[in-house]
Amino acid sequence: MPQRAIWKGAISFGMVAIPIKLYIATESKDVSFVTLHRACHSRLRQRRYCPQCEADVEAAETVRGYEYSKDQFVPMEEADFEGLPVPSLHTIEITQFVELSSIDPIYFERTYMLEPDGVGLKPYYLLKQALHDTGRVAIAKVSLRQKEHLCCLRPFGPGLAMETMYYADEVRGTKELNLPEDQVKVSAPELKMANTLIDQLTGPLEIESYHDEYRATLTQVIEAKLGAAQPIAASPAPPTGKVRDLMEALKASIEAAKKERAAAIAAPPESAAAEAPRLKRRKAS
Amino acid sequence: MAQPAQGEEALVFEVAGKPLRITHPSKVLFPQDGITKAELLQYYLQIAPALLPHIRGRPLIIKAFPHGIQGRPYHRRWLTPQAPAWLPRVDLEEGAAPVVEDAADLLWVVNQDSVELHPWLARRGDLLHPDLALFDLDPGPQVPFRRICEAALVVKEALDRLGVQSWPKTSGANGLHVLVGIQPRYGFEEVHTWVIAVARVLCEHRRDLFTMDYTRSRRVDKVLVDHNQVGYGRSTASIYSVRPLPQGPVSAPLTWREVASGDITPGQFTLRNMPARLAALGDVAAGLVESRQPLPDL
Repeated sequence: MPQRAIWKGAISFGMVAIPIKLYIATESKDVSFVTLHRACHSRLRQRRYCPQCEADVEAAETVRGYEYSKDQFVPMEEADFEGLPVPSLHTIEITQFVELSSIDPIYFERTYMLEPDGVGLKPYYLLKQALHDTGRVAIAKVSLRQKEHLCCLRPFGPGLAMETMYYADEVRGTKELNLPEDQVKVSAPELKMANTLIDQLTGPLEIESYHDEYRATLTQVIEAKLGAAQPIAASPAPPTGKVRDLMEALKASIEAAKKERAAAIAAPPESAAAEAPRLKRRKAS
Repeated sequence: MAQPAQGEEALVFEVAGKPLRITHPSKVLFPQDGITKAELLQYYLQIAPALLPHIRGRPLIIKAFPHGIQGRPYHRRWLTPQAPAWLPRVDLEEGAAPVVEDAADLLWVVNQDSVELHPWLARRGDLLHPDLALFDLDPGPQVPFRRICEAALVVKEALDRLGVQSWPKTSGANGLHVLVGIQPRYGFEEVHTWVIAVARVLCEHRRDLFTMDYTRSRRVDKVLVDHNQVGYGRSTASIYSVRPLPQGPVSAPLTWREVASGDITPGQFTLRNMPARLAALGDVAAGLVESRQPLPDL
């Protein structure tokens, strides 16, 4: 299936606007699970429950709230968001160019690919070539999912990639951590040995050679369980009966149940009265 | 609630050449009546020759009662990987829906604790064009069953005048269904619109009897013509379906003569007496299976 563009807009670069489409470049391949009821293996549903009204709440009846102090909220309506000044709406507005190595990887958030759209083809490749030749990356601002992101554009393969980045105040400081670098003295021979070790283990990065072994093993466990739940497919044992036998078996089972029930009625267990009908009248179509 | 016997073995039977796995046959599904899954399976197996022509090729929505009819049912539209490979299915965008072609497929569905059968109004091959139109007559709380029969006869008369043949069945609960076999060349929207149009005429003609107002309080003494069961992916309890009510009533096809007689009660036909009725009368709705009528203009 071809990927769908998640966003359409333009790179704004001086007086030039380069129309582009935005695609998600990476995906996490975690094995995901749902939560089931252990008794019947039905998928559990999340309910929106209001403890104040003691009632379930429809999505349409909800509003976002900002918790400004413990259990104190300001409700925010859609209209409150619409009026916000967001200059980079559907533009990737380039503000400056920097060396890629001057950005610490801690700032990188998520990678997207940019695809030139229509007339943007030539200026798109002009920008890519220029970034390549100067060895710089473009710093820009872009609005995605109700947030204005800092980002950088850089050549990647045959196109341009966009990394969204954390703002400086989103990166946690190291002050509160116990990192006493200046209190530790390292001797020259120790350092030399460490350097030698690093040199010995240095080589080109072959990222394809690394695999998620946890995921592979987990998938094997799931497949084994699937096989066990389907013994017909898994075991070559022949079927034990035919339709006539099925009817016989059902009859026998019904007879047994009737006998059991008759015995239960003769000697009613203490819980028999509790099993009174409690079927609610629902719309019966 | 009766729990399935611990350690009860699953049995595999060859049905229609397929290995059918029956699990927990002694699980009690109707606690008041002691009706077990085995009895439910037996009913559907006995009724299969009449039932299968009506539901063959229709995607089914599985409505299962794992904790019996007093427990909460769950609905499952799409097959899970546990479903056997031999089970027929239609692949739709959202998933694979089970389809019943023979007795083995039917019993596989029932073995999922499916008390009711919920087939689509369209069949595989053309899921966008239904071959059934449905008038669901749902009585207000104070409407005696005689009056619903009267309402059904008014619907029949109106359809007769349009040159359309119709078949009545009990809903298995309180109401009656009137089914019309149609050519599968109209979209759901078109059929729905047609049903609404007929319902409007009925309501205008007999304000004392019919209503299209779903509000319960405003239809205590009226018969609601529920047209909302007609739609893509929607389903109603099928003909011969058991309903999750005490005594296991079934949605029984009737003759118009029986409806006119006024001798019918809604819960009269159950999974325990339906096989005898079928043996005596045959499938009184057999004509519906082959009925392919054009929708008349209104």
